[in-house]
Amino acid sequence: MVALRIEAASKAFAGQPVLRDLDLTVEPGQLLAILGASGSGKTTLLRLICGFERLDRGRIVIGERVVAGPGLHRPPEERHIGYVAQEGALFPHLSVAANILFGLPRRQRRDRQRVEALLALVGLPAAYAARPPQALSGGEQQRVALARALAPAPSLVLLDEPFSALDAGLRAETRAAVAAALAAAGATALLVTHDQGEALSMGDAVAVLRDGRVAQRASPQDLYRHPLDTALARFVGEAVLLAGVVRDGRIHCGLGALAAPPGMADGAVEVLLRPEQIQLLPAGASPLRAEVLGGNFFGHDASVRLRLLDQPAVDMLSARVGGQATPEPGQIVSLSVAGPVAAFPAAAASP
Amino acid sequence: MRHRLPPLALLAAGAMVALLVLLPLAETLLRAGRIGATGAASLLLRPLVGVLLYNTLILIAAATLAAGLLGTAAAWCVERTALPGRGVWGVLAAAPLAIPAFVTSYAWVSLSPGLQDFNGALLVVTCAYYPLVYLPVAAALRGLDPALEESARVLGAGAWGCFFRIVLPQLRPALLGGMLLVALNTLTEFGAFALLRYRTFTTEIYAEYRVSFDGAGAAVLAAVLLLLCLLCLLAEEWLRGRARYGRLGQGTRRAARPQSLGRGRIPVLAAFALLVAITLGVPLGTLLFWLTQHATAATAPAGTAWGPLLAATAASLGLGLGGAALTLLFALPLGVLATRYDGPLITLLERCAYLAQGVPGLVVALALISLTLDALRPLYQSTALLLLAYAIVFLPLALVGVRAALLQAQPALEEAGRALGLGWLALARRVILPLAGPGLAAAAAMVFVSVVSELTATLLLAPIGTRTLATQVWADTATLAFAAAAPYAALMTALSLLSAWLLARRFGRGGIFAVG
Ligand SMILES: Nc1ncnc2c1ncn2[C@@H]1O[C@H](COP(=O)(O)OP(=O)(O)O)[C@@H](O)[C@H]1O
Ligand SMILES: [Mg+2]
Repeated sequence: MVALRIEAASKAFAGQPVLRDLDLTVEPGQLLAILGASGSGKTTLLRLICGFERLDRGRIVIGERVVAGPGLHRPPEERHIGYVAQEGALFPHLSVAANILFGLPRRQRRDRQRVEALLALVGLPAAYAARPPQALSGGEQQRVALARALAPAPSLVLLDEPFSALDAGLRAETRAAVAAALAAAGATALLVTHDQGEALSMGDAVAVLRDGRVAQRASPQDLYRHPLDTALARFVGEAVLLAGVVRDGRIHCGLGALAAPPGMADGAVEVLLRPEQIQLLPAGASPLRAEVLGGNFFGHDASVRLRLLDQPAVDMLSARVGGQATPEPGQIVSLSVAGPVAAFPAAAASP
Repeated sequence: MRHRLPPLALLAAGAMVALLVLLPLAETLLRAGRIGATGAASLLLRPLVGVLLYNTLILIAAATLAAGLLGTAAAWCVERTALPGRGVWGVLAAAPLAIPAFVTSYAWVSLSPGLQDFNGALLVVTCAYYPLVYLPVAAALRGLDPALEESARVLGAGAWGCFFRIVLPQLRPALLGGMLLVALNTLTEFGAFALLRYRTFTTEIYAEYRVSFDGAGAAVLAAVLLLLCLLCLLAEEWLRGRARYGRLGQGTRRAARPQSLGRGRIPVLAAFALLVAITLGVPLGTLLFWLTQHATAATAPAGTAWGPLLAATAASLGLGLGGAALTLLFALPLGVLATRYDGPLITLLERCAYLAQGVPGLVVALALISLTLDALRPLYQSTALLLLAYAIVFLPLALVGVRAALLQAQPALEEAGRALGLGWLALARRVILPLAGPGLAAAAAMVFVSVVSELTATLLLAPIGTRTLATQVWADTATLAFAAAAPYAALMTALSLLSAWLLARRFGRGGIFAVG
């Protein structure tokens, strides 16, 4: 059994297709992150699952129940879904407690212990129960919104970029609290985001939404290390792409001869490395020499722009180094490559 | 807004305006006080006062309820359903505000004298004032984030549950505020009730004043009416201060998905058609009917005489322009103080000005008459005194517009102009006027329309021989000369509708709100 199954879902607005024959399943207890650029249809997908919008074609099954399909559209209140909107959408005229208990049957709406348990679940003190939502910070509002969504014990929780309106510090903290609460509740969840870091760090699995379809669905590690094409490689992180040739199990490219991924056929390829795979060594420590052109310093790390000496075919590389040891522009360094690299046959590199 | 001291002259001007507003209020209460406790008690404990109180309160209760239901239902259908022609219905639902209530009442009375009772009064008041609920509720619905309703639905609330648990609580401030405005207007309305022969405080005060110039009875009744009005105003103020459910967060939001009406479409359309027929069709249609009747269907003097019509129009326009100018002159210092400076004194002055909203035109006029008779005889029945009455009565209206206009020219923009080397004259001409000018003109236009259709103060204070459109309608309808009244009423209504239309085109649907 799966918690959510979407089959060949299509949706267009004014003739403009947003989702085209999208297929997706979510396993019970799983947190699936959906990663997509802004405008790729992430919110539309969630709104279709909630029943705020009607499918053009296809089917949506939650648990065992078909909730949308040809000639069928169950209203949102019959779908038993938890939904956390982008800005929480707390009811401004109700207290935190009343917000949290909103979705419960009338008899259970006085249950103070339930409120306290849910507040504890999302990491908020019980004293918040009586507050108006206006008295909460953005992150706290999101946590209350999650508690409200979890209160009726829904079979599925949908989160629509719940952290995008928060500033950086609050975002990390709220992410951790939300992940912990979802795990503690054992909820099946679908988290939508345009932030790769968020998708990779929070999702048990990540599905990338592109051109109205799921372009790739994999574990975060697999997605980062083995994207299906170069566009996906660039979308899920910073990528260094080099032209190369595979011969006898080795890739020959500007960075020398590297081990080819197993089963790679001979021929022209595009090689994918992540900047953190390129290591900077003192000059002369390896035959690969490069000049430092400049860099961006972020504190915990820095990105360094390099030009390979002796290799006019490769014009620029970028590498990532720790924040404690950043080279000066003009400095000559040596390079080495750490870990396995990925490669795409040159013809089919880009969709 | 900064905490710096305003120029003394500006402060003095503001204080003078505030005192002028308080003058009729104080005079009314003092005059009632002079009667003495026993005298007042005997005047208050008359059965008549009981009747008036009953008539007034039962009408207010029924009218606010009817207007609340009608206004909310209309607003919801226009803003949230897939009603065909929503835009047109929205304008038509607001339009009755531009027809003076006593013209509506004239239309109904001329149709059927049987309406001269509670039912007629309720009908006329509801027709004339339900837009006071419709407009703020529609605005609140437009401002309501659909994400809230969606969240409620996905949490298991059905369509009705969602309306009662989410939408209605959010609408409450707008709804109750609108209903209080209906109550306030019902309290202060005079012309409509006089024509309908429905006895309320205003009609009785007028009658007693006509009988004896300086009657203690009128003074006591005026004080009671004033207190009732101030009570309404206080309630509105309290409401405004209390519930302001700000939206949480500030991201962009989706437009609301209009609710499909399904099989209800035809009945709802029919209901709207009926509503428009009753609130607009009957008054305007009746006016047209009487315009084409050559004074045969009702007792009347000879057919349309162009001379008096022109004279009345000129008088109305002249008073309208003068009234608008003086009111704006009064509102400007207060507006500048309120938007550019800060402090308890300025808040106090502004509050005083808004207090005028709770002082009926009738009470202002009577107070001014008694004041001038006591102390300033030459002013009695002068045009100047009438203009002063207008300025007091319509000051709150002007102040709302002036404030909004001056806020358009934000201090930061002024400072930018200053920094670019503009002197204050150049600043006023090149920065403030272009920004605030349209708003100021709109404020003046609103006062102008209100003056043209004002009846009570005009009736009491107009210099001997001055006849305006409004007083002409009053005089003719009072003698059942409906056909004779028609040209005056039609001109007045046309002026009012035209201005409302211009204002709405310039400032959106809310523009109509201020008229009437
Ligand atoms: N109600 C709507 N009407 C018309 N176009 C819409 C509507 N909702 C979304 N769209 C369009 O669909 C596309 C996807 O929108 P959305 O699902 O909000 O993207 P995302 O959440 O990934 O940023 C956008 O181009 C958007 O303009
Ligand atoms: Mg979105």
